[in-house]
Amino acid sequence: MMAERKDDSGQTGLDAYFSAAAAETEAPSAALTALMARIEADALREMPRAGLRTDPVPGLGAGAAQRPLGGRAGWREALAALGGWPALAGLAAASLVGVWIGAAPPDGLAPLLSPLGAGTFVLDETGVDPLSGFDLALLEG
Amino acid sequence: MPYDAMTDRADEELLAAYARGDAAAARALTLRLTPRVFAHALRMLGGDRAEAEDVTQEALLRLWRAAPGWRPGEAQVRTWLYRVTANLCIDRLRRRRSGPALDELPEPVDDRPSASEAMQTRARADALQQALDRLPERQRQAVILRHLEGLSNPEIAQIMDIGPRAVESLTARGKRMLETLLAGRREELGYQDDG
Repeated sequence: MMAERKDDSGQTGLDAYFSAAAAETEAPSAALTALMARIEADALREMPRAGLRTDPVPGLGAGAAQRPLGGRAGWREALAALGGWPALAGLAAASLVGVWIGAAPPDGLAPLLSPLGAGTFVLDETGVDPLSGFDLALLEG
Repeated sequence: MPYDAMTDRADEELLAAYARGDAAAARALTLRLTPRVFAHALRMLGGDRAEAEDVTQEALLRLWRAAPGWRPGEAQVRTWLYRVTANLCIDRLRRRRSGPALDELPEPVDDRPSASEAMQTRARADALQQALDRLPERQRQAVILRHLEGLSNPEIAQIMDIGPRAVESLTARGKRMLETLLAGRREELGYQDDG
């Protein structure tokens, strides 16, 4: 092994190098100031706004910082995209009417619903229950 | 003069304030964290300032985006940032595998006996950086975190996702290699034999 050596300040081994490196990085510079200005601009641009929440879980790890929206915040986002509660109520009503018409079509609508344009299908004639899949889906939960 | 206007507040507290839309917290965190992250990136990247600036900006951008979901007490901001920074640096180092050899780097010193103390300090810092660049990535990371950033072994273990004993092993091997690399430059850097 090499002999222990000292510099003028009496430091030995790598300590003097580490001290020198620490001293070298203390000085602020114009470049660092400009960098801080850019970073602060990023921070202000990314700063969360009231009413808009994200749901990342940081923990440790480089990839942990960027996660998609999820949970309650995600629902709120989806609802806002649809147009809020009134739009959602309208959508639900339209869906129910569609199901109702499909299950029990009014007389005047029957010819339009039939692929052949005449009459409605009767289970005995076709051998197929058009609602069987729907029923199974309900049963299976 | 305080380093930032909120020196009495912990990083995690400031990050929570930032997540609530506090612009002053954003500024305080920027002033507090940027020099530290930049210094670490600069050392990891062999003194490449432009790349170190990019990495610093990217690491902090990830912090801003992580802020809304930060769980108090789960991770320290400083530890998290060192880890993200080191990972970004290692990605870049792996992309530019064919870095310059030590011999190709410019000689950092003027070897006149009358060179000023400041120049000698600069020369030693440059020599150390060049030697650090020769270390394997993990050794370099451990040595920088321990001896230049002044972190404890448990903190480094958390950052590097290894055990404390592995940290000790990495830093010991790293320092041995640094000693070897710097041995040939002692005379020019102002060292004298002790005996």
